[in-house]
Amino acid sequence: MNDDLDHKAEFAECLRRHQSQLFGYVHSLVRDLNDADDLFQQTTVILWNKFGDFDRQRSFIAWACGVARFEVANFLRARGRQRLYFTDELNLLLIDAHVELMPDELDDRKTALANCVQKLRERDRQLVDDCYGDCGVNTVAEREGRSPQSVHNSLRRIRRSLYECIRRTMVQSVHPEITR
Amino acid sequence: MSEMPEDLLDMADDYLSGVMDEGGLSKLEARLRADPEARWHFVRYCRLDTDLHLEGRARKAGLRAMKAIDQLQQPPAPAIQKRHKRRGWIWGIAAAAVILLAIGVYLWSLGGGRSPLEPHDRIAWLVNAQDCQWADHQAPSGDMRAGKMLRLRQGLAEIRFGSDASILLEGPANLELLTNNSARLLDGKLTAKVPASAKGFQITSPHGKVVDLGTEFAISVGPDGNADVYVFAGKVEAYSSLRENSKAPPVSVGAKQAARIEAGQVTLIPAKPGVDVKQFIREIVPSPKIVPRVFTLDFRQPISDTLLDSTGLGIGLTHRLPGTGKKLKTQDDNLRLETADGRLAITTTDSDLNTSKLLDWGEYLGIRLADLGFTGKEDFAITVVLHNIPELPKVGQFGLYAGPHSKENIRGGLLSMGIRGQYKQFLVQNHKGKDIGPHRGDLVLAGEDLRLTLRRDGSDYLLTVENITTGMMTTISLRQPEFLEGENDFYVGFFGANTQSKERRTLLLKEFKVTVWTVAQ
Repeated sequence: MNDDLDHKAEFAECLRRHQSQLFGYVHSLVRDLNDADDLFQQTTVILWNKFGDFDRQRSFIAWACGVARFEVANFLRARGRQRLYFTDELNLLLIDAHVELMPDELDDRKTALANCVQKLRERDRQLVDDCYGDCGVNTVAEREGRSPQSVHNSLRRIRRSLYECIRRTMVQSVHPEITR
Repeated sequence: MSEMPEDLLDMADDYLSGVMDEGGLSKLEARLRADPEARWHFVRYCRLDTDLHLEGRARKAGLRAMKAIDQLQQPPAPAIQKRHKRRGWIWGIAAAAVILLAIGVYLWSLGGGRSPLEPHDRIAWLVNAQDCQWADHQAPSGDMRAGKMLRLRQGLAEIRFGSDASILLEGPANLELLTNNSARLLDGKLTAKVPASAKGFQITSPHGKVVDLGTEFAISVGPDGNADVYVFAGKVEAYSSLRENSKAPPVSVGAKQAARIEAGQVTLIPAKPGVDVKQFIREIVPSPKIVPRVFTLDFRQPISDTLLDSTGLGIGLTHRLPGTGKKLKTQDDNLRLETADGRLAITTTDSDLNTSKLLDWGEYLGIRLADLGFTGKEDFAITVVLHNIPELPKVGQFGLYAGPHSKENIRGGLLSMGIRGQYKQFLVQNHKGKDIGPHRGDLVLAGEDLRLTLRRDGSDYLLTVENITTGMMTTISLRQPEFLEGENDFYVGFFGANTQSKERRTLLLKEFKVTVWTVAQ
């Protein structure tokens, strides 16, 4: 009984530590938050069922992403979107890249993002709020009498400046300022 | 890690937007397979998209939750003036009734029909307002019926009741309209004027109520629900909710007296007429009319009787910060007005306001604010646009200044750091020639275009750096230091200095604008 509890606690701890990475990986493949939610849950159940066989010498997140990869591939195939899916070879390379994106860096990037969003022009911030939260690109486009492409273009510009802003924030924290 | 390459950004954006076709995906695949750095950026760029989605979802969930809470707190309109204990499910039904009513009103308005709120349902009117901000932008309109909750974030709102009693609500405050002669103040402050005809006007507070006997009074409800009452003229009766039930007599509060209503008791408290009168606003005084006076330069033509550039052209700027530039030539070798491009090129010199170093050769150019009607009290702003900022060596700096002279001022802008080509935003006060407590902001890189604004807003100074190249904007601020209090002869302008280095650089000023918000007499 205690062993079961320990086993579960160990799994919960592994998952807690890496769930953000795993979710990010799944979302990067399906690009839809609801689909990512479903697949994340599905993957978690499989991970739990297989956790007994998991080699503790291996990286949990690398293993978890590997499992998620198959789930995502099945899901996309079922949706007929298989053609828009990377090859296995690239997927393994991308898993490595996701694994290197450690929880600490994720946290730092998230904090930086929050600051960077605050620095956006009011109009841009509103667009981010609307497109990523309330309505989605098509609804926003319709409401503002713009084409979806034009809204996508604005989002591209904003996403790029946010990415650059995060990059600068990270550079800054690595190279603390030199004061007079 | 270096910047994410443009072609990869394009592909990643297509990928994330879901507009990528098979050909595009093969290209992206090839690029990612070949280049670990591309993969490094790609996973982080995707991560940004994920984080934005997650943040959006959290915000949406938060809004939904707040809406549900708001709806639960909506009282089920007129019949609940008495504070019965109700069971949760009754509240649930009542809340549902309110929601249904709200939906009904909404559908009715969609149908273009007449509002179901008949004029005689209205119990109060908003008759005057100043600087009001209402929660969720829900300003009251023709819907001031019993049970209406007014959530005033800020500003003053004057509300007249059907009985002719009127109140001045001061935000932040939450007030619920009860009848045409009563309301409940949940928190915040109000003053009430009650004519004889409206005698009996009541303001209920969380722990009791005030019944007016034809007078003028104020009430303020704190976060603990306790209410302080002050009577300007006439008389009111103050009840605690328990005392009313036990039929104990109310406490009578006369002119210039104060009382506190707490749970279960009302006590007279020492009135401090000076203080009490001051803390309540009794009428809306129209805001003074503010007239902005603006000075702009686009550097497209020389302007006579102004400072001269190296070839004798008037650059449009009229003054130097007193204490600077004394030894510079009348036709200043460091200035070049380039009218064809609409810009002023300023070559930096090795000077520093901090420690007053070589200020006789310092380039601190601008105008005198008195010329725009500044008398010491007015808010003002100075804005410049700079193109393609050069690399200044360490501690090189440029930006904006404001103050009476070189030893008493505020200046802010960009300061070169140890890493070549990188600047850090700064804002600093200079007292007796020494910099005090620099405030620092974000990183800016050489080659970028910037719009800098230094603004005085009341007793705050704000420096905004808008990075036109990246679209980012950051503001840092500091309080007006004491040494500038009472100063009324301000100079504002632009400066550039290759401080602690002999490497001079040229700054390209595209626009120069100063605004002083003067008060019309």
